Amino acid sequence: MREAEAGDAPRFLDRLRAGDTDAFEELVITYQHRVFGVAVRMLGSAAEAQEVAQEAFLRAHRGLPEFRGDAKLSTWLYAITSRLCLNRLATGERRLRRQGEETLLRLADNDRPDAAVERRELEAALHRAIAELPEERRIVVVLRDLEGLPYEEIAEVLELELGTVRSRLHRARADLKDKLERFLP
Amino acid sequence: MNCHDARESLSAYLDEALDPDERRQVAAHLEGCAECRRELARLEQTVALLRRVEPARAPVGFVDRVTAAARPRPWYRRAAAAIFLPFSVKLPAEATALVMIALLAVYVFERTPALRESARQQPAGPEAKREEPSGTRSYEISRSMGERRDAVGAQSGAQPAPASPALDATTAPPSAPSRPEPAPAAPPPAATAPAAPSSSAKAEGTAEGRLAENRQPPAEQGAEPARAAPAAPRLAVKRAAPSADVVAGIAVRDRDAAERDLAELITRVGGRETGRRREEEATLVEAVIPQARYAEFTQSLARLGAWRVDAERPDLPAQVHVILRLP
Repeated sequence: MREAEAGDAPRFLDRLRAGDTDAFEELVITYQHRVFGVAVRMLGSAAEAQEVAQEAFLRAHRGLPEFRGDAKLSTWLYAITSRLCLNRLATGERRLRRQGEETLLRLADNDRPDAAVERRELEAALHRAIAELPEERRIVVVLRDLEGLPYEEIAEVLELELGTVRSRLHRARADLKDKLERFLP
Repeated sequence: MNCHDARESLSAYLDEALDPDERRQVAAHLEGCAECRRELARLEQTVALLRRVEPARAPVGFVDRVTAAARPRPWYRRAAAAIFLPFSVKLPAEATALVMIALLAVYVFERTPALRESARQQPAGPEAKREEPSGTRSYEISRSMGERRDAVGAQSGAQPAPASPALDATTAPPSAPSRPEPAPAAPPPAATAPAAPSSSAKAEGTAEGRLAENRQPPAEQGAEPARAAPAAPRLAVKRAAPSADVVAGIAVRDRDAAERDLAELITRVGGRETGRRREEEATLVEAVIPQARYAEFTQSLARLGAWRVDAERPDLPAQVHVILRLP
């Protein structure tokens, strides 16, 4: 098991803080898909997500010497990524929005070339429904239902009250239920 | 608990994120409310759908790109980035700055006479040195050019005006103040090269002649550009070394008679008149006299009137080029 996944072992954290390039590479390898996953679900564009994910790791790299280890590394990385995505969405720094949506659909096709048409439709509808959520609800549902974070960690990542996380998640799921009605049994 | 409150908590109920007391209340409500049970089931199916979404994967090569970007860059790359990046902003700004500096340099140069003077002297200096040994040769060349041009002027006798520059230029002694200034475009050599040694005066004159040619205003080339263009350097050269061998004046009482007598005299001594210009104040006669009979010519000339030599070369050539002024 990688050190990065072994619960932020103190020795691994020390190596990271000391600027050990191998340790940093291990951190990126371990968390790349999760960081990229949050970014791509939030931004809807693989190109933008890659840009933001890279920036998130670079910020982490710069901030590692001061990282005290109060939070888990994963929580810290999710927090950096979420903040970057929300900032980008809030400042209107959006490019290739339509192209991004198409990218997501294409990704779904490529990832599952053998999937049935209905399955691809469902994937597309899911992506579209998530993309249409208000940003503050979208990030909560992404962290909870796609990344599997517990409520407490989501509250820590987004610096929100637990009750706020609960209510936002509930509203996000209710929205999605209405939009995905035809796919429900 | 009513339906509204229960539905607000259904999501957390699904995730088992309610505290035990809340959870009991929701469970009690669901027990008696089919509508809320249906709602919970739909919510559960929606979450199940979401959890079927394939996890996203970072693109191939992502790790390498990140680690490469995180690697500390050498100082020269950081400096280059600081100077040039972003290209779209910094390159136009730098190009504009360069153009403005160039314009400023030109402006300062134009506004500073000392700079202009030093720039002018630099090309003249080495050229003068190089031509110094052949200074006499350049004089001869310019002289022969003058003669050739004079001959042309003589042939077009019906057009006295084109011939006049030659006369003006060659009759430039200070004793003729009423004559037009021959080469206004060419400033005196002393003004442009104050520090030049006097021994290289001829060479300076030649160089100055070239400069005068460069500075010749277009207006002076207006009427006959083909002739005026070669005349410009020559006129300037003649200020330093006149092409006439002898320049003299004769005080006569009857100008018409004196002109006739002079023409006869020139013919008699085997010479030829190469130019004549009659002006209100004086008649200028240009002639070539064989050196062998020059003494006879001057003796006979003295009989026409009071003979005064303004300039005479110490070593007269075989054909003496004479310019006479009859007031």
